[in-house]
Amino acid sequence: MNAPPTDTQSSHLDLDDLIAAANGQPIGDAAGEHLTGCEHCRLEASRWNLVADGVRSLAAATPEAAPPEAVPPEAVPPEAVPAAYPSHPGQLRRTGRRALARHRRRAVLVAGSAAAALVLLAGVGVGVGTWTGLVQVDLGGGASAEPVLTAVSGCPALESASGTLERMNGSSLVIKTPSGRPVTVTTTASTTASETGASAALLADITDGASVTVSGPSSDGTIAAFSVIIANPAQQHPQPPPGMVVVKGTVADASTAGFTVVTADGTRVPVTTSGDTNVSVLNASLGQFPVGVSILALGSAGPDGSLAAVGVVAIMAPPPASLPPSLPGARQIHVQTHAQGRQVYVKNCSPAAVDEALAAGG
Amino acid sequence: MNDPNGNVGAAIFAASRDPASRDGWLLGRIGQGDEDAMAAFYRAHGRVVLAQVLLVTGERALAEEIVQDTMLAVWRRAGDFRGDSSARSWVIAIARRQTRDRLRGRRLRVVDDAFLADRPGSGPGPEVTALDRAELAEVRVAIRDLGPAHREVLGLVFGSGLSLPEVAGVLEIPVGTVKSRLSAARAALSRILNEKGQIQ
Repeated sequence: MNAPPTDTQSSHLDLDDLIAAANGQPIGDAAGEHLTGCEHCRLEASRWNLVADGVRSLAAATPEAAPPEAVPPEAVPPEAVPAAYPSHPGQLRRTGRRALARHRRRAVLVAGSAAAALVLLAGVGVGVGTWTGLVQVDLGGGASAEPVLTAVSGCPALESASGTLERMNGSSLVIKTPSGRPVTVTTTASTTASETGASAALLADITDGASVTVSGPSSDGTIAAFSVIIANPAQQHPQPPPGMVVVKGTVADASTAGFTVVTADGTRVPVTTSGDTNVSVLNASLGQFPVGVSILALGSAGPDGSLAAVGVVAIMAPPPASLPPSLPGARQIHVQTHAQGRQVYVKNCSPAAVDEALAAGG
Repeated sequence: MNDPNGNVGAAIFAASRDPASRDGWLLGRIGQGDEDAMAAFYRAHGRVVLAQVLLVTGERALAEEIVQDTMLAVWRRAGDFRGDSSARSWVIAIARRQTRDRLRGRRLRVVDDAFLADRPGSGPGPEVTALDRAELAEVRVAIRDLGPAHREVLGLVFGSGLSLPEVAGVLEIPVGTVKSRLSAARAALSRILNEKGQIQ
């Protein structure tokens, strides 16, 4: 508030407070009390709220970007089209605006595809390094009571499904998709299960003797953990980002505030954790998944509408980021199903890549 | 995915609850050529940038191309990010420059537009009552009829969720000017609503 008490003209809320209120941000106690008792300010706040709602509703209604045109290999000179982004900034060659535009779309498509895929694949332990393809399956809509899947164009051997866990039926999970459809995910002994997220429950899984990979900034020899991966350290080795370090080893002295990593050479590295520490348990038990948790499953669709999973990941917190349809540039491939409306977003989902990933994950 | 060893980290950091930490980490990875980090960054900000650019340009195809160019610039220049501002305001500033470059030559009265955009509002008057009685759908239509500078500042503040200092940084104007532009935008919105006679 700009509040010289003798200046009645300026005793109302200032624009900063009104904007903050319209954006749902906290305002000071004094400003809040003033807003409650001042009709002028309530009206002003209401006007700004309406303007803000108008802008936000426009933003929310931002249409989907058009699917990119197919890029036949001969459309762009090979040297102008790296697999995705150029390996080094500046490598991108200009070979004509149209080719470049296509190239850019393709690059972003790759990026978007990879983003969606990596969450799932990292969780299920599929050989992510070999992957270029599957992104997201949306089991949406449809007139029939149950979605019955058939083949996915261009990606016949692998599908994924996401939703919230409704219940467990023995070794099967029943998940509810965003559209409300139930989908049964069957598992076998070889199905990998993992959990990831920032939650106290997952932090509690960091117990003495666990093999972990810890990433985070280091200060005075102590790592403030951004992420902790509980798995065989040989399987996971994130590259340290700038200003951060990665340490692999075995947990000791676990407590609610952190733990010690004992590395292979016996070095002891203290680690602190917080509520924002993301923990991934790569060898979880399906029976531990709580009802209501967000689930991503990867596997093969059966004729009865179930998904035979090679991997299941539970996103404990935060909820899984929304995958496409909001992805500009994603290529949509419609899937023939008994329940219409199902779409799959893929990039280069070649049978060879699928087979390789299945082999790695199965 | 060119870096199998980094994928798990990218996935986990992308899910971080702390956007600033996440974005800083992601941009660091992008600077090292990590496609997965680029993908995560795109997912975190792409739609917001697209909405903002679309609000300013009003042309979907153009907005999409600008977003593509923006993300390519992020890919190339991630190493330039120093954390002096939020990643969102940084990428939106890039998008704004891309938009300006694309629109250069289309609009000859850029200076006039900026001048008009910053004219102080006339204060509560008959137009304000239009906002008091307007419906959301009418406001949406009226926003589209605003000048680009007004659409831009409203989008940055309410659509992209930037703070007023961040908006000032993106627009390269003082915070006080952001405020006066906001007020002018709202006054213009009220006038449009009034002139359209949508409010009886």
